[in-house]
Amino acid sequence: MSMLLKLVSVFAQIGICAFGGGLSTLPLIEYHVVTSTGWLTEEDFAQVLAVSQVTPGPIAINAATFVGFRQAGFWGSLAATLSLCIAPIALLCIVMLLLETVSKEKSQKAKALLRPVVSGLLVLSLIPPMKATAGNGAPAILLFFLGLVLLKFCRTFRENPSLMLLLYGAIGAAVLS
Amino acid sequence: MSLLELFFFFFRISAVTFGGGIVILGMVQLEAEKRGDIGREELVDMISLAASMPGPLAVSISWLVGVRYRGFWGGVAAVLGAILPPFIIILLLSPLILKYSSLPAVRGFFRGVLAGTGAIIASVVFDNTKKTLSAGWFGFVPFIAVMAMIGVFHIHPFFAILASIAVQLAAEKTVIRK
Repeated sequence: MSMLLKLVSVFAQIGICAFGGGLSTLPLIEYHVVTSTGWLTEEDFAQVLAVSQVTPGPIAINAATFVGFRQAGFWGSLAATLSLCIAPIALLCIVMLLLETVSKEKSQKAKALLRPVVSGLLVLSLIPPMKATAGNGAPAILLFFLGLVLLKFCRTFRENPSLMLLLYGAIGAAVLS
Repeated sequence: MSLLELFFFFFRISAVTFGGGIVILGMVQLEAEKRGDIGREELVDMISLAASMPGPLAVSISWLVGVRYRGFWGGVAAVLGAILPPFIIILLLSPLILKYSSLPAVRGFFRGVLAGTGAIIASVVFDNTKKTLSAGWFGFVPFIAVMAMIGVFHIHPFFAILASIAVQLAAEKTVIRK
């Protein structure tokens, strides 16, 4: 199978499984681009996560564009990003055609069923950054704990986490290189 | 909204929203309420539907809103608006990252960001897990099951998620029978 087709297949699968959005998508992306295809190492994946945290847009789109580019250049990034988006849209259209109107009870019920699953996925999403940080030595671990305190007590950082991340990046460039 | 307006409505939101997920739903609700041409109730329903379906939330909500205004092409315009900003930014950054990611300063930058990301995810996970587990053992089983299946046994996420949902449905049935 050519790389473009593989990218389409992998990212369509990620799109269709990406319940809850945001960080809970992380374990799915990791499963496909690290565990099952071996395209990225764990370290590469942590880097993709870092980039997606300091650039706008959903993590899944950031990852699709980057992994697609890395594997097959511009057309790879286009194929990966589009299939990530088109697959769930197709599913959404099918569901709406079948149900005509999706009642409030049904979507409440679906959300209730998904809640514990999404929580589990969120816990898994903690593994890549923690593994990376643990391997980056004591100053990195200290920064992690400082971050917990900052997020708890500093409103500016809690409301704009990417501001904190940029600051952390600057500190990291100075002391963690 | 015209096609062009739809495109730029989502382009603007997507270009300034970091992290995606729930944040983008909040932004869309805020901006759409300012315009006032979709009823509040209808908007809440769309957001609720987007959140209960798979796929990046930015994609599903922009599709639903786009289709509501201008049918199929409205959906296309809105989704393109939502995905173009992150797509362009990462496309421009990718060659740079691949080329310079071994430089010490760049590695240090990523290490710092990852330490902060760990802290951000940890605080989200803490609040979220507390909420889920306080809802009773009903949530506890799928919570553990999905983690074990994907994290330990490397089962395909699609089947892991399906199984975790099936467990809950089965549990509900048994309880009702009693």
